[in-house]
Amino acid sequence: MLALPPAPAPSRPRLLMLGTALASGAVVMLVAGMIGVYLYWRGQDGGFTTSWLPAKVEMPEVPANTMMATMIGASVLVQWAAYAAVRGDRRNAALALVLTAIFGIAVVNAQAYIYRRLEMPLVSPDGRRYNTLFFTLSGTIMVLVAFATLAAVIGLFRVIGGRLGPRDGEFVNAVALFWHASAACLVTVWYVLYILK
Amino acid sequence: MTVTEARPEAADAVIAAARLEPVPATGGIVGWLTTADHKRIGLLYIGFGIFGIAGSLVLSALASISVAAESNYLGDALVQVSRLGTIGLVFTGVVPTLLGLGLAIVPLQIGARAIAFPRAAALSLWGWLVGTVLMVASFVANGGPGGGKGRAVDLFLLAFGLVIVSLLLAALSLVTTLLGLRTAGMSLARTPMFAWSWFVTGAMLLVTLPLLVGVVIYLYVDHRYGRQIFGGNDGIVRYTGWAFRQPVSLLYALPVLGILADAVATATRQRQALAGVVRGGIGFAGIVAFGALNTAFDPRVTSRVVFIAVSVVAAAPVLVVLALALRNLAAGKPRLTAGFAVSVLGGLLLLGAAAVGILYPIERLELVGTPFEAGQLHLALAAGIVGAIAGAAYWLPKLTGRVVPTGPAIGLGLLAALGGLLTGVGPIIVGFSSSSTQAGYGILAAGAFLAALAVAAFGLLALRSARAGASAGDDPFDGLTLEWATTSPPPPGNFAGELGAVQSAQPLLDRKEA
Repeated sequence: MLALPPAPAPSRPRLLMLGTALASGAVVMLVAGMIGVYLYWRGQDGGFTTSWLPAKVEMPEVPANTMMATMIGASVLVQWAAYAAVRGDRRNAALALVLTAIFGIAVVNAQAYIYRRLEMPLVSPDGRRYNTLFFTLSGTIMVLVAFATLAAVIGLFRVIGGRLGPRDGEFVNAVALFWHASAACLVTVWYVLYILK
Repeated sequence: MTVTEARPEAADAVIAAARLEPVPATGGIVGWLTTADHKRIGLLYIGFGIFGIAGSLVLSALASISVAAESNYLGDALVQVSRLGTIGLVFTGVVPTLLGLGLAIVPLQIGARAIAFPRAAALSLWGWLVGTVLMVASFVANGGPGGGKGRAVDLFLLAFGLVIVSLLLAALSLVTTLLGLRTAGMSLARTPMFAWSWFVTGAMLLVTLPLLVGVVIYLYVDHRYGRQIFGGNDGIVRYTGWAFRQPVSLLYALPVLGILADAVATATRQRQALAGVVRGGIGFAGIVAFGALNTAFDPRVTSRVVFIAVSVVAAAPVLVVLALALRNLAAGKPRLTAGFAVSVLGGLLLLGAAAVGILYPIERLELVGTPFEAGQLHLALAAGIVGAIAGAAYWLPKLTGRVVPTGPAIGLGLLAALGGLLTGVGPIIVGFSSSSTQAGYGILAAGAFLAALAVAAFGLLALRSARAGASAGDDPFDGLTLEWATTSPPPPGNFAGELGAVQSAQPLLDRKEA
């Protein structure tokens, strides 16, 4: 009779990943709800066949598209960081996290540039709803990106401090998951705000 | 021939024990203020939550008397007092109290050594408490829905957001615990019904309340800077109203079904018959409570088909769970415990709250936007209040090591149920006939006072029992689930010894029958 060796001990539950997945789901619901409110008011203000932008306001498309592409790029980078961190590759993990954080800052910078170029007040002088809804929705996304960037920086410190490997690398994995959720939210908002207009 | 060598059971226990390091308890007030122990966090939630329930009910009663007596002695503050009563009852009363029970008991039920993210759970407690205090302060400063001072209204919106986010954090911690820290052998299908009900409720809260946070963000920005979109102060009630209507209102009391199933099974010492159907019923009830969210934002764009479907089916899962839980009564000889008796009342109130929804389609949706909605909400919240009393009477002996006297607890549960029923019946009458406004609000006021009195008295009873009650022993109710396998109160780390692999949904009964 051939006996197999005992089964390996089950790995420690990935609590951080579970919690991050749930938090990411909640964040997606938050953004989905806010997009729903935005679209509701847009529907009330004349439907979806014409642009909702106020007169004389021109949406700067190039920085908007750059922002979206940067966020997707950051998503790739943070996955690289997660891949490296789990395998104990400190140099690659640290490099990828530095780049991720820089990309995150670039996204926030692009959004700030868009705000500046728009020359549109937060509250419309003629009572249009668009202004407030636009700034609130895009601002919420920027808070998410800033939070994700902060998480990446914390992950960077952990990696530099040697917290790597299948177990300690879980934090970077969690950061990556949150980044992907944030990126999905940003891309959707980008489509709603800058493509549908 | 190949044989797979089974892992020794002891190894499972060791692995389970090593999953989380217990947080040592510190004594004194500092210990309570800085605690990351889920039992203490849960107890604090329960304590402050009971205070929130009683206070909110008194506010509702005061507002109702003002309407019923047509005296308007509250003047311009009538709307504020009424709204603070409703918002407070949901978010500073019923939900936190049931959440506190979940935080304290669920990890014990699933054999976890601690809760996931204990510091996040502690943060949620203090965030919720600070948010609650700020919310009340904003009302005092003439803010909140109906308030006349802009900055105070802004403060209310910020505080309201903080309260919701804090509750979300606690729900996240609880659901993660259920997913990741169950002891060896305990699949989700083997979790006790209360734990399962919190899994469903927590998951549904995590996908529902963020929508409310989003609306509150919009409301804050709009109110703070322009007041052009949501109608300023008036918009707060209108655009957050869906969180206080069917079907979301039913979600707040969903854990009552879990309390009922566990308490009845223990009282009858019977395994839950058709446990899978009961789980399915609780799960379906949770999904129904979420499924009609697309009816929520604006009644004018209500998806009538979904709303009517939810109105018709909402009672079915509650009825199934209630019927199957009570089926145990026929199979065994029940012992009269406060948890069992009071939780049945809570289950019946929840059934009532779900069942009256069928009146929406019968009345061709003319009840939408009337006080009938408030009546349905009050019935659901009454179920939550009564369920919280039942749960506290059932599990406080485990948490404090002291017995809560059965007779007084049942009496106060009955009183709370009667009061809660009246708080629902009053507005429902007004919803059908506006000429009955005085009578309806009079009934509401009487019910709210009665329920407030019962809740406050139960709080004092529980406090007195915890200080000077009779010793409960480790297993006062001859329980079936793992929380009764440890000492009362449980030690840091919850279980002193190894638990071994769980073989069924009633592991303690397995052990006793072996």
